[in-house]
Amino acid sequence: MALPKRIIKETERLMAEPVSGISAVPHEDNLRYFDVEIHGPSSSPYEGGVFKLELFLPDDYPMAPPKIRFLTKIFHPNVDKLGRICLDVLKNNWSPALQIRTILLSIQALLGAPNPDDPLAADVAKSWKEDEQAAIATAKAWTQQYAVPK
Amino acid sequence: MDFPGSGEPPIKRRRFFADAANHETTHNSGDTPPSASLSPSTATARLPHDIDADTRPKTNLTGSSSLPHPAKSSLPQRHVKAAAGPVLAPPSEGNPRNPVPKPAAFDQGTFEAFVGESVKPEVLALLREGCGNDLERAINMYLDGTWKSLKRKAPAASPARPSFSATARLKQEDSIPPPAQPSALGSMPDSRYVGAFGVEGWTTRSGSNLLRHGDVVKIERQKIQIPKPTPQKGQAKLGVAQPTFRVSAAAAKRVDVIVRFTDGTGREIGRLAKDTANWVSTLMDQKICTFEGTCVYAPEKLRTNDTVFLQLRCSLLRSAFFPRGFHVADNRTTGRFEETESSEEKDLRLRQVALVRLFQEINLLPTRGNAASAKNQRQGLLDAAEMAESKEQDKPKSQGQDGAAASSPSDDNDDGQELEQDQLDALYKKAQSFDFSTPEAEPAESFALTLRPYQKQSLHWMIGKEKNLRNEERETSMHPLWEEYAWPTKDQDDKVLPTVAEHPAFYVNPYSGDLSLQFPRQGQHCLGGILADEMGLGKTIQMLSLIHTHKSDTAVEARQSNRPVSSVNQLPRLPSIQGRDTVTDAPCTTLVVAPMSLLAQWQSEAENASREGTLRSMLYYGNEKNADLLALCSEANAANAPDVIITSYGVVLSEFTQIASKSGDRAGNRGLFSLNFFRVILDEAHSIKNRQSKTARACYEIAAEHRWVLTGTPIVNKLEDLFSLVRFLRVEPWNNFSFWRTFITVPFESKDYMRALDVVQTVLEPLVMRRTKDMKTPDGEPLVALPPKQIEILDIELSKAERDVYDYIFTRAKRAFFANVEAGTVMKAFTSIFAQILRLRQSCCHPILVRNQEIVAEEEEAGAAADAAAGLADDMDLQSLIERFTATTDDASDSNAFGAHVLGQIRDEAVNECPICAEEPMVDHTVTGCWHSACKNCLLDYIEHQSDHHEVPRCFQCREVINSRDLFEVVRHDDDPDTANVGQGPRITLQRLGVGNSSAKIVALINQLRELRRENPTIKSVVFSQFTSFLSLLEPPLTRANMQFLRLDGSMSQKARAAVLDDFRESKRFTVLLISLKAGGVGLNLTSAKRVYMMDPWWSFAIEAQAIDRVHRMGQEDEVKVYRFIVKDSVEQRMLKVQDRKKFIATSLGMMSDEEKRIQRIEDIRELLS
Repeated sequence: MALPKRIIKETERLMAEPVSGISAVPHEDNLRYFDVEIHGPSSSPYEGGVFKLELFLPDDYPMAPPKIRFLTKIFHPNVDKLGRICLDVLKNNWSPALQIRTILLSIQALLGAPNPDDPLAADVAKSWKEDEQAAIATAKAWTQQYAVPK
Repeated sequence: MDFPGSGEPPIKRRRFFADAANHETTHNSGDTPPSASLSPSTATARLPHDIDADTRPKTNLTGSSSLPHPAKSSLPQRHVKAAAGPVLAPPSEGNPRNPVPKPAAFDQGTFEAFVGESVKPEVLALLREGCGNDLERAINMYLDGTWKSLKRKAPAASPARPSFSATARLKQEDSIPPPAQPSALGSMPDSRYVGAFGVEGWTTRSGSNLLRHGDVVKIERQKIQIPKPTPQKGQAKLGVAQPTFRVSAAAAKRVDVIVRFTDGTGREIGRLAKDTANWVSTLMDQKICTFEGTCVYAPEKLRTNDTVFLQLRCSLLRSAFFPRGFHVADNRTTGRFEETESSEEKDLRLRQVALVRLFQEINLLPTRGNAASAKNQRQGLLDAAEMAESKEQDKPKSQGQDGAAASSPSDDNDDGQELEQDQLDALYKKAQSFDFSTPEAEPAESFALTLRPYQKQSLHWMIGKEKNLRNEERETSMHPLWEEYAWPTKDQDDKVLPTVAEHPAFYVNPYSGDLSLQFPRQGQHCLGGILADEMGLGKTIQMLSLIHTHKSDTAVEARQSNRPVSSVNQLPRLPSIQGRDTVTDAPCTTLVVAPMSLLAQWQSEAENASREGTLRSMLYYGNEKNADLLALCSEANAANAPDVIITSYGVVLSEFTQIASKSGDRAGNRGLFSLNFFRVILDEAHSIKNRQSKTARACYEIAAEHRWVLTGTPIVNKLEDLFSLVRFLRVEPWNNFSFWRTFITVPFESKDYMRALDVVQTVLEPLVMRRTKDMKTPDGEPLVALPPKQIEILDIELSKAERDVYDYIFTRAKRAFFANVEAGTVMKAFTSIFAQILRLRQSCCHPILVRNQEIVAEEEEAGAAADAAAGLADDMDLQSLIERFTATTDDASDSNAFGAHVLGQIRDEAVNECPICAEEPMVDHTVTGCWHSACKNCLLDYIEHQSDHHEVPRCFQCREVINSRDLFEVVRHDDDPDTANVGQGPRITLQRLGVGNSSAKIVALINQLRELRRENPTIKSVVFSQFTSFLSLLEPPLTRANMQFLRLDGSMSQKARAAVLDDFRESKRFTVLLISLKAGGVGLNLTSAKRVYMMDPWWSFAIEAQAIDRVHRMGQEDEVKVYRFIVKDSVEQRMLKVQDRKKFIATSLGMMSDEEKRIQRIEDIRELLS
């Protein structure tokens, strides 16, 4: 199936006008599959970390949202052990007016503002709620351990 | 060989049989041989003519013909001793005997001796009277019982093909006098050798040395005393040649075909094999030939029923060349055609078969004839005769149902098959071999236009036809039905035969069995013809130039006082063809009969083509019809009579009906039929292609000196189409249907296409002038350079709702069809199946059509009205589907309810890319109820996507719930010149989705038109649809788009149509003309348009092509683009395939009764539904 005009345009724009702290590069053999890197927002527990994600555009994109998942281990109440992300715009609140760029920005924002009230990783959310400082420390440690480029 | 009793002197002189006392002496002069004077009934013993004395005995050979043995001696006078040799006899042979028999005069003693019983005096008297004092005839009459019918009413029993008896004379009185006898006959010898052939015979006696090689035998026809009981089939067929049949039908069955051969003393030795005897007997009976036999082989000792071989020398008799007085059946006025074969026709057929067989046997080939190879031709002729035979046998059955009424519709059925395209092409080929070197004629000065060279040529041709000038070429062309045969110069033994100086050849018409010594010239009495130029070559203009250029004397004189007339007009007046007792001459007037839609066009073209004041034209239609034509056009009023009267077929028909109801009082009506016009022109003359139709018959009755028909398609799909034209033109003899049938229909039906088409070609050739658009002049220039034409098919995708309706109907139609196929009731359910196909096609245009009441009428036209209405009533499912569809369309547009601000914002957004598909700008910019923009399809897809996932559709931008009815398409009026320059930027309006886009096709059309208007704001286009109700649905969207449109359909009056055409032609702005395919398919000139939109396909593309040619015709100056709207994956797409295969013949719609066509159509429907 030929690549829809929209995907081509989005890809071109991601290359031409990259967003700071975010990169998305399509695979050469599958233009619907992107390697994504998101820099942890400053003044967040993830600062300094570079998180790898994979992003896949399904056939019915943009009617359906892209499928996206963390590859880098991260300690975050809205991301589970498998890297799946709990974010409304990736689910019910998806709209075809959203784009790869906007979704990645949303994820970056999610790193800066974890939401333990709508958890995906129940244990992480629990520790976050019980002892936020300890949780932040764990997150920082994980970032150092897994996300900081060596 | 009809012997006109009232014929001219030469024949009469030979009719000497009356003087019984004189038998011997009459033979003595060679120059007036009595060869032809035998009565037909006794012609059985035509003696071989004395040509080669070696082969015949020196003594009398003549033994009388039909006489049974005992009588022989009682007729000594018949033994001719030494007749002078005929002209042909080689002088060297010395002692020629010319035993040409002559009839014995009637004499009681002899008679009774013959019949072997005594006869009552009154019977004798009767016989004497009936036989014309011819003894042999009398004997035959007595023996076969025909005299009994004489008794009752001798005159009425006149034979169909009398020879020269008393009854013949009676017959002659009421039939057309025979054509003058060709003078060539005078120098024709009594008989002339044409060839020899071998035959088998079988002996009837036994003995030795009866017959040896080289023996000469006489070949005789003999009637046996007691006619054989009904003989075998073969004899029944061919044995009817005996004159006896002419009087009594019962007697006809008892005829024999026995041909005997006798030795020198008159003893019968044997008979010819039946196969040969069948036709040899005919030739002898009808006095065409004499035969003379030579034994080739015979067993030394003969036993009865031994086979012997003879060689027969055949000589054509002089009598064979006497005109038979073919009398043209006068079917002109009655319109009644002979259904059964008359005895005359039967006689003719026998003769024809016999001649063909003869030429086959002696292997004489025509030296000149028509193209088909002679052999095939002969075979075909025999087949045709056989077919006539079997037809005749079938007749009684069918006749029972048909009755005799010629107008019975079932007559149409046996009107022949349709022509295949390639056959049509072949047909036209000859007529189209237009010679560019033919002379030209300049039109009269009063003609205002300039003619193209080819038009001047046809003007020359037409003037020639009207004045009946033959050009040289035609002078020498042989009558198509005749063949030329050279007289052999050597006989079978290679001896040189004497030649007759003036007669190197003779002519045979194998179709009628006529023989002639004179060159049969192609006759041409019709003072008119068929102008069959393809559409767009200016047929109208050519006719108008003829009207200007060739006028009657009266007209010229009448006008001369007013102004000088060019010398071309000083033409001799031709006598009227028509009887004058009831019609008055209208020497100045040409009557033009045209379809209603063309009347105005004719009038305006007539005006344009004439210098001011040189031509008075008058429309004879509607209110104008009250005029007293009789007074207006009569010779007395010549100075003020209209030059051209234009009327419609409808008027002709209605006046004809009136007159018919007044039992044919032509003058009383004072209308069209009270006049004998100078000229009549039928435009679009294929309107009368059905000879049974009332219109056609009415047209036949129009009286005029010059008769013309104009048509681009002289043959629509059957050869009979042409017949009707020929009949109107009164071309002898083709306007006689039985003649036509014999020579064209029958061969064609018996699959002898080559011959039938050949004949048609020769009928056409002198009558037709036909040029086609793709003809090239010798310089390689096209006749008429038309700008190019492009046809593009636009695929239309149905919307979901439309597709649902379509699928529903499709499934139903398919189910019904195959259920019927299974049940074997397809033919019965034909109308309902057809109705469903029609609904399917309509649903491709607009689902609402399926429900529309108006279409009922259209369905009726298609012969499919039956259950459409009823079938729909119980269609609850469909009903709801359509309601769902119409729900989105019924709403009135409330597009102007928005503030300028919102509109401005929306307008600006339009140039942005679509947030969903990233198209830039958006395709079919559409906004939601919350004013967010996207492409229409993206928006609809998204809503559908959400619904499919059981989500409430929400706006992609603000996540407001979207009501699918609250979608508005943004219409930018940048294509509309009226609003484009007002204010800043183009005006936009919002249209609720569905409204104005009521169907996919309509949307596509409007989009096409918008685009067109953007490119070219003043262009004009034509939109064709076969559904007038669909045209109605096109109107509101056009109005909304602010496009000016006009409409032309069948329901409009002539005046209204003319007004519409004028408006369209004169319009200087973007204009769309909506035309129904049926009303606008023919004739109209719409060259001011440059674009054609075909909204729906018709069964045959030819009909569409004709519609397209309304625009792409002479006078068109620009390239024409044609767009055909075809719904993807639908019955329409499959119709295109059917069109390609040319299988579906659209015009057969009017002939639903024809089973065969239905079967073919069923096949097509099967394909449509597969």
